[in-house]
Amino acid sequence: MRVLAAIKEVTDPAIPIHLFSEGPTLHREAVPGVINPFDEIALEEAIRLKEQGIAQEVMVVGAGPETWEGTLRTALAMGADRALLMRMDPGAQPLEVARGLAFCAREYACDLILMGRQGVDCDHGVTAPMTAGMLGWPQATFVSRIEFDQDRVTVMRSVEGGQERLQLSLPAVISVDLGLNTPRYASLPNIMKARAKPVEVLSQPRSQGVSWKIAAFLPPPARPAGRQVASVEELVEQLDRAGVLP
Amino acid sequence: MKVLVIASDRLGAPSAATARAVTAGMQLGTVDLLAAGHASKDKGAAGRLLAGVEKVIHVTHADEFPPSTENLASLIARLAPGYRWILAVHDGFGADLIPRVGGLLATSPVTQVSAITDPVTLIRPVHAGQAMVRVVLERFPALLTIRPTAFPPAPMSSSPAPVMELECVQAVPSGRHEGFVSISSQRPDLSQAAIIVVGGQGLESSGSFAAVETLADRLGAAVGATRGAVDAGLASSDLQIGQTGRIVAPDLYIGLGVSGAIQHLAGIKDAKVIVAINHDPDAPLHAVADFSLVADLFDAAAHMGQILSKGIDIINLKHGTVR
Ligand SMILES: Cc1cc2nc3c(=O)[nH]c(=O)nc-3n(C[C@H](O)[C@H](O)[C@H](O)COP(=O)(O)OP(=O)(O)OC[C@H]3O[C@@H](n4cnc5c(N)ncnc54)[C@H](O)[C@@H]3O)c2cc1C
Repeated sequence: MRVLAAIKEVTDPAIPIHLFSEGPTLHREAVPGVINPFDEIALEEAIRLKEQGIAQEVMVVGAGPETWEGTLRTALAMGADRALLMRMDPGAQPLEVARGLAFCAREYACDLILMGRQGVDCDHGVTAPMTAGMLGWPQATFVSRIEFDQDRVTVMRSVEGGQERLQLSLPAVISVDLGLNTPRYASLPNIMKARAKPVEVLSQPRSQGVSWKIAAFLPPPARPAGRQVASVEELVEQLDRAGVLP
Repeated sequence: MKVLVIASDRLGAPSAATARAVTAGMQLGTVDLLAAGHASKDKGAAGRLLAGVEKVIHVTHADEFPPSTENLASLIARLAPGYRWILAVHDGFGADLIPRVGGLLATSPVTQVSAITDPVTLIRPVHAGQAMVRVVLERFPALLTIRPTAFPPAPMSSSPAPVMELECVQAVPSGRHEGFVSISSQRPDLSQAAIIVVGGQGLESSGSFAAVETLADRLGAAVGATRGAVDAGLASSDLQIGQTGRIVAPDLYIGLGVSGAIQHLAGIKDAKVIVAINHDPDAPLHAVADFSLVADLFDAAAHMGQILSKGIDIINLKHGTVR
């Protein structure tokens, strides 16, 4: 089985957005790029499948600008066998990314696509099902457990009110949630080795145009300033005044 | 112009969020409601009574129940030419289905819509709600998911909408539903509750969520959790609130031992009143809270429980406040 692990590079989500002005682009200070945390979990799962002998090859694909090469090398250092950069504009819409991933899955005869449930920058959360739809493959989203039995895979999906158990036959697309695993750190020797490995570069299939345009980034709705209370008594009194106690 | 709203009912009873999706749909055009899951068992009857619904498309299933996302998406893609917008709630069903339709129609959906400015201009959060974007639609039919907390439920009407039947056939390889492990609770649901008490990793030292649960029960509140509490094994992931958990909008949110990470704040900003109880004065939740108490959470929660059980009037007497 060949697994395609799709990764997106995002600005480090641990760093809050400070510099901010209204306009068609998001103005902020330069922030280091990291693997989207959910994609990192997907990649970890792919590498574990290989370590368990369930997968034979893990191919990591990034659909983005050439500056993502470093992030793809981090994926190689974690344990991916080969890395592919599908060259695209940084702001490529999910449709283009999904087309790129579907193209790679067909071109390289992949049996399983794993990726995160959403990019923590744009928060679209659409790439996995879009790719599955284009390929006509079964899909499972928000997956927090994966079990293999021959060419069948059983997953648990985290949804409102509980967990749905789904069985898929391969080829399939799975998007993963927190809780599936804890990604490993790349070791220093592996980081050094990954520097020498090739990152293959492919060109984007011809664009199909945009589905929507971003007219402006806006500040989030402001909340009124709060106040500190000195005691539990004062807190309860204030809440009672605000009319929010039963 | 016409909007197809997908009822959020695949695994359970028609969700209350469906009525909110109808409200969003009516801000765009005239609404047809597609009932494919549980609601189809009652032939879409619940949806017929939502004010604003012109027609219910009741999907029947010869082969599978609940219907698979894959086959439903193919059916919706076939209906798409008759609509200018196709809309669902952003939940485990809608967020699975709508993008798959997007793959079939070659359109990127606009997800988690939190406001509709006009029929082609939408607002949605990015970067865990640290910024909003104004999106202008360029391709139709447009595909959307909405944040249910951002739209009020559509009222009930007395004249039921007509029903059209449509069969969903097994058309593409699809996942097979093998069961649902429900996390049942006697407490109110997070999406409905007026008060939510949320526990964070600060509870880890006690090894349980008891302090949160006791206070919640005193208040008749729902219980929520941070990812920190879920990872510490104190709460089930179903209770997680935030960027990748539930989005809530209660009248009162009380955070006990919650630091207030960006990803958590993403899910609580629509709460009317936010209370932070944390012994670290620098915890970011204090900065967004309406009322912040720098204190040990266990002492504070227990004390608050005592006061509430004695009744509010006693405090007012003690502090001499006049209501
Ligand atoms: C991709 C991604 C997605 C995420 N999505 C979510 C999400 O949806 N929801 C979410 O919640 N998190 C999410 N997180 C995690 C988030 O970044 C934080 O790690 C998490 O919210 C922290 O949880 P916490 O506040 O419980 O824990 P901590 O940050 O550890 O805070 C615990 C707090 O408890 C206080 N405390 C400890 N003991 C006491 C005491 N006795 N009395 C009073 N106060 C005390 C401490 O001062 C501290 O502030 C996500 C992270 C990533 C990377």
